[in-house]
Amino acid sequence: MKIRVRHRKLGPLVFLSQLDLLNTMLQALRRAGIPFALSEGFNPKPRISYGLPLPVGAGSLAEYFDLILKEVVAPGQLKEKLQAQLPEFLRVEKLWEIADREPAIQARVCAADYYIWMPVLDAGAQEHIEDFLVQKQWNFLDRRGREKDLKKLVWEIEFLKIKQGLAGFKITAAAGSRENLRPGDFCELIKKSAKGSIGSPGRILRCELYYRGSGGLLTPFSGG
Amino acid sequence: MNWEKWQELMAVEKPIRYVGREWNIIQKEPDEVRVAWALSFPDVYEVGMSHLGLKILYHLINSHPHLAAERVFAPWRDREQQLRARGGLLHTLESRRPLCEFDIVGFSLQHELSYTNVLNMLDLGGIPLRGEERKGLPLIVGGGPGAFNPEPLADFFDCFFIGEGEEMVEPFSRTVARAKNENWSRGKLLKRLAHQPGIYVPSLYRAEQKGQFFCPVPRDNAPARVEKQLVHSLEESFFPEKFVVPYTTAVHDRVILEVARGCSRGCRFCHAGMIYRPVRERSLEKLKEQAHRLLRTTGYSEISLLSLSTTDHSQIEDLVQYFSGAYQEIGVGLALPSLRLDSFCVELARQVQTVRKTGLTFAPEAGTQRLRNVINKGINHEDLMEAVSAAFRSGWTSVKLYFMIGLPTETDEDVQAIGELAREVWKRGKETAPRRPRITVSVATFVPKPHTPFQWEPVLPLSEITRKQKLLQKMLRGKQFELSWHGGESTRLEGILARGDRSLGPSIYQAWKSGARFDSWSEEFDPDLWSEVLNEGGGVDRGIALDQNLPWDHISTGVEKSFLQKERHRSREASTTADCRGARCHGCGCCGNLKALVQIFGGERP
Ligand code: SF4
Ligand code: SF4
Repeated sequence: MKIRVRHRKLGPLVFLSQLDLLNTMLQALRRAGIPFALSEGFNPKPRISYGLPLPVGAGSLAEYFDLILKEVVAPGQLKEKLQAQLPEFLRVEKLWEIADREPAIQARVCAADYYIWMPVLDAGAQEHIEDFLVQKQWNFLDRRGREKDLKKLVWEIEFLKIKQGLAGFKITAAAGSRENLRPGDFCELIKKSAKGSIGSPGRILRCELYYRGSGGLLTPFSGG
Repeated sequence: MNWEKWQELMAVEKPIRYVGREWNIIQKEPDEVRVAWALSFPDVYEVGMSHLGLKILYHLINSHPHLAAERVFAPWRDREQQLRARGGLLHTLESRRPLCEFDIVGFSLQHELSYTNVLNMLDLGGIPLRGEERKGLPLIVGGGPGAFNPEPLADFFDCFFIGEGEEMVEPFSRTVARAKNENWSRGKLLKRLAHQPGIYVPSLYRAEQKGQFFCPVPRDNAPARVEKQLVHSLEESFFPEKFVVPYTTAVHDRVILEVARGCSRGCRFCHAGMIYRPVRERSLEKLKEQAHRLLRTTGYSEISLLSLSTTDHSQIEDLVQYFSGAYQEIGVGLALPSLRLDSFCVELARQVQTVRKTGLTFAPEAGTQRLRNVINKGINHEDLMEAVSAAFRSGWTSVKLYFMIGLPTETDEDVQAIGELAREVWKRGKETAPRRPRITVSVATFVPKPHTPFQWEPVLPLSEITRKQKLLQKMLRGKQFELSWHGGESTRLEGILARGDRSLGPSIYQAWKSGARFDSWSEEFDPDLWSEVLNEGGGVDRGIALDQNLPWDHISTGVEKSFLQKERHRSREASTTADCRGARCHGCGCCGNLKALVQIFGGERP
């Protein structure tokens, strides 16, 4: 039996690395006595796979993982059992059965929604952001020294105004193994374009992951 | 989490160190708590959270309805800077109250190179460093191996716990609770505590110069000797049913079972071997129960068997067999214990890891038989070669060998013998191992520790350490060997602090003032800083005369000084002394003095 879980990652636990998160989740699954299957071989490992890694410091309302169980269990019960073994900051939102042949979530993710807040340092920020938004290209030199146009990766963007010294954005961007916007790159680019009016680091909250379906974008629980 | 806090943590290395809120932490309602402890570990979170003693005390104290224990670790330099810049105080991970608001701040003194961190944590916690500058609570207390020579820290601490803390925390807390209730003065409280078993109150002793050292002399009726306290039966003693489960994978994530306490193999350099006597085991039955409960409450997927010499446990075969199989189905395995040097142990290791062959570790400590006899490491060349052959035959290809240089009576011949032994092991591996063997040779420098038969020995001069290291380096060239050692300067500092007297206090203070932190981290250690402050202060690296008064003479481990002298004498004749577990008691004095018994469960040992 295969299950998919959607959970949050908030509060101080945004500082867990992807490996820390995986380990923490496995410990909770073991405490909850959830009968997950182990891989064959010398060093048997639980068969778990997370959707899309999150940078350290970023929060999420929509972390997903798939897990293979070695027996059939009622999903409703599992959710409660798992939740009882997790800190509030990693609350389980949904837990449901998926088809055995359903490809790993990792393989299908193509986009993600993020909220991003950046610290505003002076009054010029508003104007710089407006200029930035209308630029044709957002050229960015990534960590490996390759130039990329981030505008191609950001599918939708909404500027949420400046509030309490923070400039907010809501974006839908390419995510996954084929094309991927690193939200941190986006923050750096804005900071650079704002010429000192905006600081760093940007605070990131992931709100959803998407698949490409026949009728457009689908969420991992819309059954497609 | 608000923006400022988030931003601050984003700016430090490994923010998870400062987050807390782990699974199984205990947070009590403040008005239910009569005495609150801040258990302070003077190293980073990952190091402290791997320490079993801290887990035991945390859960033991918290098991009392009116006591609370919270945790605090040494902040890394980046975090310290943040705290200082905004005038924030160092606080615990549970209630996040600063250290100065606790009743007792208890430091775990695992080694001497953590002392500047102790001072730093006090200072950051809003507590005046010197005992005489403090008023009221908290009391600053220290325990662990470092407390067996407390004198270098005497200026900064109110009390030291000599021995195993489990026995002392409850009566101590009760006295502090009474003092709070009845509004005792600090002086009255300290005087009372000084008469409780195992508690040393340094301010009630005057340091008097006696020959080479300042030695404490009791005043105001303080006891002349402070005797080590210990758990008489490990089997019956407290062990946590839960461990706090850290989020970060940087901490060993496994269920630790303490299979025994103490080791009486009697290696003459070994501090732990002398201060934790006698040997007390926990039975397989008890360990099964504990493992079962801890696996359920932690969710860990590995078990490790802990003690000073795990393979000496009288039921070790049953232990290994049981724990490597019992939870296999749910993917819980057994971590390999460190090994004694014989084929029996290799056979054990084979059971633990039926297929995956990571490295095996052996500790011959010295290169020649003569020197191994001097230090009472009771193994011979044949045993060693047989053990490594067995390991290679069973498929291991990477072997790690631990040695020490600078041991008493050592000559260049002994040092060269380390290189020859490593080469011989490699050669044996080439003949018998399935693949090309890799030999790691780890060379520590001997540090004379108080309460051991070698407490009178000199610390090797720096030039000699370097020369001997070079000697080995020349012998072990080539890709098949990996040679590693500790810096000579920090080893020497460890030796000086380990046998220091009260005159070292100002030097430690000065070192902290000048910025020394995390001295045990080689990249943080600043030898020039320390050599400057030590030039002004005291500290010995020379040999000490056998009849000289020692600054730790008033602290009793139970082992008689005359026994240490006898062992020292025997070392010069290269005669060995057998382990008192298998053979008969050789009269170290410990069992009689402490009314303790060696406790063994299985029958004859192999
Ligand atoms: S075997 Fe020797 S070195 Fe190891 S703990 Fe025992 S006495 Fe110490
Ligand atoms: S008194 Fe005897 S039995 Fe007890 S620890 Fe010492 S040597 Fe061993």
